[in-house]
Amino acid sequence: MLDIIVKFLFSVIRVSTPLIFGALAACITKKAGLMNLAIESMMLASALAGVLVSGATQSLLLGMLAGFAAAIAITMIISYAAFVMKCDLYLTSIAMNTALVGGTVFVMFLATGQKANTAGSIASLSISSWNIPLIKEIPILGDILSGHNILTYVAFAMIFLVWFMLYKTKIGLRIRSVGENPNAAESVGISPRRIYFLSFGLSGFIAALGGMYMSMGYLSWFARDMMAGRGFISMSAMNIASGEPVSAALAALMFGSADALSNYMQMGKFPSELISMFPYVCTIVLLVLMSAVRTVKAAKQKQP
Amino acid sequence: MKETRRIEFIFEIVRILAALVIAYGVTLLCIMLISDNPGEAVYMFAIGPFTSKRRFGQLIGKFIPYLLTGTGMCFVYASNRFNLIGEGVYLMSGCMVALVATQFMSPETPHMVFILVLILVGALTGAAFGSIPALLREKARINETVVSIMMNYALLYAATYLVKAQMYDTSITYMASEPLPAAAKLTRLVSGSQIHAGIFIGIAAVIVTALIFFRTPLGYSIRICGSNPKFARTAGIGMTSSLIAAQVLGATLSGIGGAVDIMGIYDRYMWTGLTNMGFDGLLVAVLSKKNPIFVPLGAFLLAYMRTGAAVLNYTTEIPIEFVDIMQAIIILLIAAEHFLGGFKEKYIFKATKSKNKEAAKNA
Amino acid sequence: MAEILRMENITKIYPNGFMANKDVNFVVNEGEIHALVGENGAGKTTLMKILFGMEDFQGGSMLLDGKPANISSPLDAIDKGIGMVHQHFMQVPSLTVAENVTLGIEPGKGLMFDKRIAARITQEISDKYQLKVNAGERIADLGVGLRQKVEILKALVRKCRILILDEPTAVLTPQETEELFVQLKALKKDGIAIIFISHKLEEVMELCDRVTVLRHGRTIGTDVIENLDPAKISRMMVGRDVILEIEKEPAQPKDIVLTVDDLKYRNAEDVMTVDGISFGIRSGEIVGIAGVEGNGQNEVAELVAGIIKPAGGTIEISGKSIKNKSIRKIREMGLAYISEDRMVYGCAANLPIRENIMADRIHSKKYRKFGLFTDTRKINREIDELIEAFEIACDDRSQPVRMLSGGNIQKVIVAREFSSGAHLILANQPTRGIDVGTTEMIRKTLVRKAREDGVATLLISSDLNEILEVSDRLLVMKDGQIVAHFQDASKVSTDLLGEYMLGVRRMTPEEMGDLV
Repeated sequence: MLDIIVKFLFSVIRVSTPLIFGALAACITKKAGLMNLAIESMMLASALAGVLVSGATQSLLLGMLAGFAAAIAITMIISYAAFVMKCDLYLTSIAMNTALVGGTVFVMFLATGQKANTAGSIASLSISSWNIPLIKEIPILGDILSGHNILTYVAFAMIFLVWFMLYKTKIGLRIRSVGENPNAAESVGISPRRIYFLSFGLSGFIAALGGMYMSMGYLSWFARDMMAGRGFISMSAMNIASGEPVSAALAALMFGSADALSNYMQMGKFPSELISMFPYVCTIVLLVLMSAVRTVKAAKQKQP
Repeated sequence: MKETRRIEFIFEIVRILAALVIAYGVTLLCIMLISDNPGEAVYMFAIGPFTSKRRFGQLIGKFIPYLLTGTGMCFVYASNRFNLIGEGVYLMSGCMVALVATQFMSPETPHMVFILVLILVGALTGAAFGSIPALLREKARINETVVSIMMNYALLYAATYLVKAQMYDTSITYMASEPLPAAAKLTRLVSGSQIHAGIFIGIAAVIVTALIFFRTPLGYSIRICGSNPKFARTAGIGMTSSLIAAQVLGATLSGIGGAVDIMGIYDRYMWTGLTNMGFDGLLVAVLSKKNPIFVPLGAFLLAYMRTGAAVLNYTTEIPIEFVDIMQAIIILLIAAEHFLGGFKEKYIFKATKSKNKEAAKNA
Repeated sequence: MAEILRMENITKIYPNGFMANKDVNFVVNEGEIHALVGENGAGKTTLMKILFGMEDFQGGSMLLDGKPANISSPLDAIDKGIGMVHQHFMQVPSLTVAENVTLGIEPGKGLMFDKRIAARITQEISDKYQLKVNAGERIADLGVGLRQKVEILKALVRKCRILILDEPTAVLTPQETEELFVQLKALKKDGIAIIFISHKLEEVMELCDRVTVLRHGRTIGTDVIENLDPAKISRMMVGRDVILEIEKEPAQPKDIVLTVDDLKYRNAEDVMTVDGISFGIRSGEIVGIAGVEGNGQNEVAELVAGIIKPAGGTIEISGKSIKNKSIRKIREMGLAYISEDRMVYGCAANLPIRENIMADRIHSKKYRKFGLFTDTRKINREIDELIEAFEIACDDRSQPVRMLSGGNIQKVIVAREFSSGAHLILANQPTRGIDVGTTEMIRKTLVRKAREDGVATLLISSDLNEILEVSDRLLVMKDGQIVAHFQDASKVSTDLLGEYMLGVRRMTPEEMGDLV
């Protein structure tokens, strides 16, 4: 029994990793006042670019650079369309998601010359796992925490980094001020548009880590539509945490547990689909609860 | 003034055409670059859909649900809400139709009754699930985009669960429902093609939507709310009810779309992923500029593009997915206010200036 | 005292042809508090926007310290030592005082934001100028008075030498105003030039060294405060340029239509902007409310129209209370409303003229066919009639409103509101920014509706011509209260009206008499 629990917790961390990256990516744009619906496409782009370039050059570094570049390119297209050409941001993001699901398959075809749903034929490199020297010796805890992919540890470090960036740096201050009152920021010479570009760029950088974790860590190949809604789950984790990085990461872990649970349940009798529904239904329920709390608070304020 | 209006109209058309030409140009260029036999590939993509009864039938088979999801998204888009529930209810309606047809109705039910009941099932499924994000948005100010996207995935899993738990056909190797009874299928109008009787339902949807839009108080209200909510409120229009109605009607049409698609094309329910039909509906609404009268044009265009890509997919080595990129380019260019916007202003400015000069001369 | 700013012959013409400033001259010295006064629309805000780099200008020149200066953006203005305290504070509520003050010039090494240095800088400046705020507190937790201090600190921390204050006392309590004045006088001692925009003459008299008066976009004059008194300033500010006579028979008021009793409204900043007013309007008469903008008139209009909810008091239309009624219900009780901001509340710019006129009556049974559908033929006929009657210059009824000129857009709105069959019309700034022809047409129609159809009309306008010509009875509002009531508006002089509007005089209840 203990063995199963340890394995389960290990897999929770494993499947939560991309969600944490995604949620953190969503937090940054949220703090700039924008909802990021395009995390899915940023992750897909980086997942494929990482696989292709690392496969072709046999260099992990180049592969990862390509992954970052791909995701950031996506964010720049979105930013240009939305903030310069004045296209609706939601529409742009949705169009980008649709384009990337097909686009990645198409690029895969260009690279391999075959029509396939996975790019298994590309000998891509993968990012290795890491056994943490001291912690791995600790019984139980060591088994849960040690031996994960390096990017998993990066994800946990990233929670702190994003929090630090948002709350302790000049740029974080500017992002938050633009998100809350763009006019105020503009009146002291901060260009909201530049902040939007920047926050989307940063968001793409972090989402790229999530994408590459999927194709070069969690799996070691690229598959069609391999994010399977993870970008949207990340976005809802951010949403119920109102854009706070630490709570968003916790929400991502909660959704990750549901995901891990559904993997386990597939073996048993319990319908795994119902567990897969959990993050989505949970988000809606939490949003309703939060709205109810808001209403009650507002009503209380009115009657002192 | 007349001049201004003419320029605006011409520029709208030029913009849409330019968007299409650019997207098409990029696509054709790509095809030529990657294909071993570019001439044939371009031919297949551009003319392919019209080269056989089967292919043209395939085009119409796509056109029919686009009419329904397109008009549905017109409602949502015209009310200025970004509610994407059309995607999820499309699939759920298909599933409910299959469930009712295979589990709850006798295969001997008369054809017309069967069809009407199933369409009603689709419509109700759409309305029921569509009302959730709409109510949450209008009554509790919860972002409808987030809720609808969450619901889309929830509905996908729920539908898969329903298939597995209630109507799994164990005699086949892939996951699908039991086959639909013959009486539940829409009549094929042209044998050997996918042209089916659903086209009448699609056309009816366009007409009804256009009537609601332009000939009913609700349609006036929806358009006014979508265009300027503050004015709508000041003028005394019941915003909450109009906006809920718009979103629920949109979802209902999408639901009918899913039902018609299953009954028209498929033998059984077998969708295991999001169909993208809701998002395609959004594209149709964008192409037709929120005007239901133009939905058939937009729907045909999209069906043609997608069929061309499909033809290319099975006649050459080029995969179908490139059309998704093309679609995104079109959406971005058409929806981008500033795409060619500078030109428009310049021309209007010129026209106004020359008119002012004339007026000055006359005075 | 050295001259710090000289604006010479400034002329500003907006793209729509509106001339906001015409040969304006404005000179400010170091270490003085200079009042810039004028009615709404006199061009004060435009002039300050030009100074702060928010607007360009067509003619004239600007000199700072005697040297020609070209100010291209607010950032540029800040660099050149100009600070502005906007009426709507430019602050981020969830951030602390220190963070707001240093936003854009954040202290710290490299990318890091050093909260401690930011707090220290803020505290130093705030101590130096006696602007006591706690650097660590969040803006959201502060009251309006403190938030204004933060706004001043923001300018000071950027080493401003010219500080523009746009109606700073409008949001303050009397005590806070007193405190602000003490602080402004301290800043003056430090050599900072302060431009004080205000309507409140008693404040101008108390605080300022010199006064410049603008009227209709032109400079009327500049003088030191010793040579002026409130009545003098008021006469300079308020005046009529053109006199358009409107023929009008005497009113014959009949039944009472609108009754407002002890009406109160508290705005989002918790200020009582309508403070217990009562009046009535009878069928067939036009009652005007004059007043400097921002004294509660707009709120009265929105309260009667049901757009905002009162904090107390009652509103009755033909004897029935509008409490808890939807806007549609209130309109069905017989109200028509021409709102102040026509593009925001008056029309849907992208929709055709037809939809815009039908907006308030689309649910009426009158326009139904077969129970469910609209009677398009009837609608089209009526719209065409209205387009003709109101002389709306357009292609046809299906032309989007945004393609029309401002005057014609207002005609569309007026056509809707005048044809709704209402017996109470609320006209809030009905002719603002509109060409002379349309203005005359709207005013004449207001009078005609009252006389011929017996409509009760409430006219709110900051155009003195309009309010004196069109109204039968006239009320004056100041600080959310009614301070004067004239039985016959045509007998009121602008000088007298100005003195009431600006708070130089105030009637006693006995003088006002019955307000119904």
